[in-house]
Amino acid sequence: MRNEGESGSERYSTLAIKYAREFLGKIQTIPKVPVTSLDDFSVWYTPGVAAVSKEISKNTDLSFEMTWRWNSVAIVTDGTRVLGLGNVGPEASLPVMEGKGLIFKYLGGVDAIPIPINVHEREQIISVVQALEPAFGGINLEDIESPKCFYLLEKLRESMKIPVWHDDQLGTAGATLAGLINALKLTGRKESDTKIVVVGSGAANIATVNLLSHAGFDLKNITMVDSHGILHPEREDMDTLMKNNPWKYNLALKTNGQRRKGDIAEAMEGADAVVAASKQGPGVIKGEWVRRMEKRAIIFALANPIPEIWPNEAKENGAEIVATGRSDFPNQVNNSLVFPGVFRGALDARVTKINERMIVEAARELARFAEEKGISDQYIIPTMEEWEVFPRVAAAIGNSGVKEGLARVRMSREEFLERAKEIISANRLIIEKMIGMKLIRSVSEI
Amino acid sequence: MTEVKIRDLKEEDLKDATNLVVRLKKFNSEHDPLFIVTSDLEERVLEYLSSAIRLDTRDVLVAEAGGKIVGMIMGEIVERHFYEPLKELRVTEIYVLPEYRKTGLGKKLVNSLIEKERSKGCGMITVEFPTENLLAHKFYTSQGMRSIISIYGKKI
Repeated sequence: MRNEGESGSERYSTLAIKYAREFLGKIQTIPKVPVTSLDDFSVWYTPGVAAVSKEISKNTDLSFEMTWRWNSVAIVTDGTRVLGLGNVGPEASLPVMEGKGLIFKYLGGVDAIPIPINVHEREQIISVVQALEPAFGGINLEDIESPKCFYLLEKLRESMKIPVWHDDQLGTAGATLAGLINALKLTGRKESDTKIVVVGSGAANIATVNLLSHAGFDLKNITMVDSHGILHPEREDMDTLMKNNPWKYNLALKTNGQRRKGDIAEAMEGADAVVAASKQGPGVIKGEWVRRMEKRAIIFALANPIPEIWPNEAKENGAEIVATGRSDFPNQVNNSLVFPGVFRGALDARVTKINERMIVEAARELARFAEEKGISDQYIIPTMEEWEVFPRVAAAIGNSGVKEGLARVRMSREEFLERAKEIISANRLIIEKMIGMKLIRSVSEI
Repeated sequence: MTEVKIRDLKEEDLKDATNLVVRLKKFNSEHDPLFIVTSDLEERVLEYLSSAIRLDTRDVLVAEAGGKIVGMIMGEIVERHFYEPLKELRVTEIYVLPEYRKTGLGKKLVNSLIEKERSKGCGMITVEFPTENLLAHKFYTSQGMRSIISIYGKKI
């Protein structure tokens, strides 16, 4: 296990800048219909296309069947919380959103369009996103600051008839739940009585705690800690939270059944698991605190690039299972395992919403996939290389969407699985062929 | 949740009740710079609450659950020289600990104080809170109250 990764990060930064200039971005649109002469445009465009417009004007749902809408997602951001960079603005968020679009395409076969917007007031953002509805089959909110992101997700989910997802919340929560499910299996624990400490109370962890509750974990067994210490109902800043962050306020009331006070160390005393998504370590979680946890402890240290505690330090102090957000350690908890399959399934089932029960199903499917391959302390969650996992997640979402009554396309789990496999592999083939034909240049030529 | 009893403030409640009013005042300070609290806030609040035990025109009720003070309300009787009714009950402070909110306790505190002050001749109730406190606005309108006077201010 390696304890530094910074030289690698610097190399990636240099290459990213070099390639950004050379490739002029990362994604583009290409046609999916044959064009052999300008005559073809009489069908693809005017006058022929008017007939398609007329059909759709009579029944707007046909836009899902006669245009690319069935497979398109808007990646919307106001650029206020881009990666760990903070508020860099919408233009500077574009390379990140393009990268997201690339993952959508490569792993989920989804046509995802980056839309960084130059509005920041929450009601304005709501208006903009709602106005996008006719063009897309789904909305992926990205890199929007907390607590604004909670409000936007809540309001947009209520008001739109296409699924709205905030990946920093739901994607991370889904991946964390999947990892935890298998970590509990390996250490012989039950979901309902596992004592979990959640370090950091940002968008990801608030969503994770909510999802854990939907999955059957008992909120009273969960203790959340933020920069002011353990969250509890009598904390001095409760009224401020009620006003500015009611989502965190509600969890302060519902979690921490023992009413513990103090900081991370006090919270970890006797805990079974820690899920940290807070600030970069090491040293945010100390080895001596891990020693005071229950035997066979589970540590998820998800801060990037430096986890809250290095995996080897956690293990030396008695942790049995350690997960991080990094690909160079075992057990990478990564939202990219979740969102491509989730949207593949959501688009194929044409769901109006992706609710928490569906996300729990997706997480359980992720966990099941790893279990079938053989889980161990080094493998509690699939890796990004195992592409078969994405159609499985898609099928779980499609199937649960049908069960929840949110799907406009009703198929069996097997049908969703086959369709997802077909679409994802076809898209990967297109990319491979384009590379093979040098329509996409190899990086070795640069 | 343990049973909550509403009763008059006693000397031994002063510390807990002070803590609640301090929380309220600090929360007010988030709504407008003209509500920034003083550095000796705690002492001032303690003195202010103590006065309610002495004065007949000032009353404090507390909500007690399992031996702990979980909520309070304070009201003053104000003479209205020119209008009917002549005596007004003005609620100056009300606070309920987060865990006891959404249980109807705020409403019970208001109603209990109304009962008490009605016997002292009060024919109406008013309440003051920072304009920007939308949660307070929602609570009082739900109790059938409406905005009857506006206070505008600036630093001079």
